[in-house]
Amino acid sequence: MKGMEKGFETPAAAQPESSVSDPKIRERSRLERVATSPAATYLALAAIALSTEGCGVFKSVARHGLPVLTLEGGRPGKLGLGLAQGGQNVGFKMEQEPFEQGALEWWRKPEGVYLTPVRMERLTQKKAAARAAQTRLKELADAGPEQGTDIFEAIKEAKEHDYAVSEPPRRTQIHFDEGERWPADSVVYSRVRVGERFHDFAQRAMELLTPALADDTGVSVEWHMELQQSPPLHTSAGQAASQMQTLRVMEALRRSKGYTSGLNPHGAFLPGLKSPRRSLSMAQAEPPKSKVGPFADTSMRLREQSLSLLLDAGLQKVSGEMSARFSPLSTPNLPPETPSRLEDIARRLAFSLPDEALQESETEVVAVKRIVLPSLVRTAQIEKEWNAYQTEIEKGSGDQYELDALRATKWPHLALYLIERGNQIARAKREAVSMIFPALMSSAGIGAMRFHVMLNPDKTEMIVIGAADKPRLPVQEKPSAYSF
Amino acid sequence: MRPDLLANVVPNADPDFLRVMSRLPDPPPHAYEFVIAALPKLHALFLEKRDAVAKNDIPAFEKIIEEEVELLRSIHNP
Repeated sequence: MKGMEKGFETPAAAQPESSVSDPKIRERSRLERVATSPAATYLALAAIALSTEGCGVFKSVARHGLPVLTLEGGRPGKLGLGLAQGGQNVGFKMEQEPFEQGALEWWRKPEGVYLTPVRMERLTQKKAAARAAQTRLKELADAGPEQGTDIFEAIKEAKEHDYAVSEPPRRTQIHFDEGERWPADSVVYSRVRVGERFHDFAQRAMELLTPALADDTGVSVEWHMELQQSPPLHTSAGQAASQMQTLRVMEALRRSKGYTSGLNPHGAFLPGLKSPRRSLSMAQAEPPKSKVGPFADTSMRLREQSLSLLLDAGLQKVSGEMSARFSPLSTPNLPPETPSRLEDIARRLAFSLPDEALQESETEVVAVKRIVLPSLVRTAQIEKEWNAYQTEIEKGSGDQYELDALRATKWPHLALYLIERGNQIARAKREAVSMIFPALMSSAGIGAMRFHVMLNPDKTEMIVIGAADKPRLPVQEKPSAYSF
Repeated sequence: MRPDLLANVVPNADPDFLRVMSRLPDPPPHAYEFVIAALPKLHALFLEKRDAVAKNDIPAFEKIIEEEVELLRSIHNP
């Protein structure tokens, strides 16, 4: 993302190699050109993944850097998800928040599993049920408006199935602020398996969590994914040990200075989180010796010089290519020279951003995906029903619930249309988020990662912006992700 | 990357190598040939690197990393 403040001109483009006499600048220019090479990017990714998994180079860093993952649904009363390291519960702020008792119980599980398991078979069943309900709805709509009451039931059923891709036990449902529209049963939990590889977990969690937005037809939904250093632990002994360990790791990282750009030893293909179930005993107050290891230090130092540059510019490209390949909804990606500020993008695309996104002054855009929603033809019948519905709204007759019921009973084609539209939007959201997720994961590092999912006013287009905060180093800082 | 593709390019590859690579997507079409050509080298570096880590041989490890970096730097994109 270097050079973005200068508009859309990369330094390499601004200074052609041939016209630059300074060998350092020339070399940098050459490297930046190389960085845009998909082959180099791909190989860099492969090399890092291999180091991470095969050689254990980064594992020692991650193990003692105590990374914590937090996922949120992005609203007051939002979904929180934490991952502890070493069998220690680091989601301490969560425990102080007004969660319902059930959630607290999960958070206090000692083995590092804090959330309700998602049962995949339930997910499949729900999807099948949703499909059946939709089919039934269509049959009823085709049969005519006299079947109105049944249609309403069918719509209700379809929506319920649509929401409830997972069914967490009631006692684990999270507290929602008064007036929140998000139904509790739309919250999807993901279980963190002990020792699970971070990247796998995060990817899976994202896939599971995105359907929770299915009912949202609003303008903007924000997702938070935060990877950060561990906050202090509970006991004084554990706290001291943790702080010493963490500071030591951070000191090594500061020396390497590798995490100020795209490649980050925590962010790029973050290694597996081994959870050896260490207890918070006094024995841990003894700081481990040379736990970071010379390999990690060397690796970081060397990679900082070259691979970070490759990743910095190249990940977006790979991500874009993956998007183009996998997404039937995709339009070509925005150019990689994306402005570094969210508002720049929003302004250019005439999308409005939520206030809180604009307040993220340190946010750096990592990936952008723009999707044109597939057209959904409004038949004459739908138009007719739509006009009737609008008339009812203008008359101010009844509250929203009554209008929805009326819509279902009197205007079944319109109801079906709106449901299908909602499903399209939900599908597009899921797709876009999962597509830009790898780029975000690989470049955010220690800091927050966010998805801003926005719809234009007529809901024909969607933009998903993946943004990352600048890495935040102070380990004592209150994690913003816990601000429920 | 598809296992059949890997098996063709790097016969008898290390299982760890295959496992990690299978999690990556296929190379982008216009970088395909270059990536395929580089895979055997990447595999060799991976084995050497792992060996160096196992032996706690930092100088060897540094050398391999530099070689890996050089491999990436050698790529031109005119």
